[in-house]
Amino acid sequence: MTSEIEIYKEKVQTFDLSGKLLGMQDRSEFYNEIRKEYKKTGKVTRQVRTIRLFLMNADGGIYLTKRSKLKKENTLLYDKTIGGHLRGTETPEFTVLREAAEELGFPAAALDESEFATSLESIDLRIVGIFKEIDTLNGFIAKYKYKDDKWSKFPQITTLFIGVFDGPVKFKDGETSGVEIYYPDEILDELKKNPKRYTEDVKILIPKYIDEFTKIVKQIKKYKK
Amino acid sequence: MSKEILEIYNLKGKFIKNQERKAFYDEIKKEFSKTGKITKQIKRFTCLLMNSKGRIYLQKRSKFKKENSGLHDKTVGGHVSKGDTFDMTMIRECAEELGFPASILSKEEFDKSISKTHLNIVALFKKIDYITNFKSTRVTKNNRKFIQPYINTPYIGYYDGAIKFVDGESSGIEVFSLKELEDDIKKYPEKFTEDIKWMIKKYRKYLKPIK
Repeated sequence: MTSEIEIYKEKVQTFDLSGKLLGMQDRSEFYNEIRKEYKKTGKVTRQVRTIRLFLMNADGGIYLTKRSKLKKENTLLYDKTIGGHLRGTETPEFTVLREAAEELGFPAAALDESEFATSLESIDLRIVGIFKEIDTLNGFIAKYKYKDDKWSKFPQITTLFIGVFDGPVKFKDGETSGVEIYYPDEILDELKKNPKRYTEDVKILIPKYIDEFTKIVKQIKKYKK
Repeated sequence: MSKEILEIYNLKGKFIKNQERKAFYDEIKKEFSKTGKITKQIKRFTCLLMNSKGRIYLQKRSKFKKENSGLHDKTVGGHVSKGDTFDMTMIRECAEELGFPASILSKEEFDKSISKTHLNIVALFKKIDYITNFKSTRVTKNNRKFIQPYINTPYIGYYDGAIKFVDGESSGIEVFSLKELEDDIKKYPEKFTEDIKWMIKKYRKYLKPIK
């Protein structure tokens, strides 16, 4: 039985490559269409909105999750903490909070730069997580590797968040088969040394925003003293 | 941090003395480099945690650890301090190291409760063995092996809820089905501690989904 809510869940807004809203569409229907388009023309001219979250604990360790072998794409690779699609007319802030609650099992707040900094001190991070928006990239190319070594590449409008949470985190069996923690001062070396262990997302986004990670580690350390 | 005092036993299980943890380790390391064996032991627990589907949580030891660094190991393990019990130590370490509440039940109670408990909320464990002379092979950072005897109580348990990581102890968790784990141990034996390899072999009959 499919409820109204579940039907709504599967709807996504679609955009052209300049970021102009085209309309609302069923998510799997959208993916079928752009796959066809890619096969025919070698490119994709429409995109959807997504979020990506890198979560850190209060020691400044970044959680990377290992994609389970049941996943068709990026199987067994270490990936960002979570990612997800904006459903319906959701905002990126809401999506990231919803995904954190659904996928990782904890409540969080999305804050602006100054609130984020002061909340590191004032909030009990074992109970509530805090997230900060880092950037929104139009036309970010999401790359997925398949088991037969084929790739698919889709443009997305993606909003990147970094979060801090220090309580227990749940990871979904079937989706994730492991979690590892890396510190910002060691991860660039590790990505260079073992590039095959990581998804393209991790290899692109962590080096690109490494200063943001380092800054948060410094902020955490300052307030811990 | 207060000093950790351990009860030291001889290989027959007779109590010898109380000693501070670091002093004990310095002493047995000296003994090992001199004589090639260790004649004193301490109490510890080991535990294998599964989710209700029988998938096993292995801890990846932090690379900051002096021994077995970076290897996949049992879910949790730890020393029993002076005056403490195996059960209480195990419950405390689950809470401290992995952030979840655990309860240890007798075999009868465990079998009765396991299918009726919300394993998202609390982990249930049972004791599966008691070994008076467990030989734990450990590898130091400069690749030297030494064999440390323990009075060891192993547990198995089930839990479906959230887990947290404590800095410096573990650098991650990986989940395996028994078959995946046995295949991986065969293929990449160097990635696993000797303890976990031994435990999987010996206790495989306990490593199954909840019916």
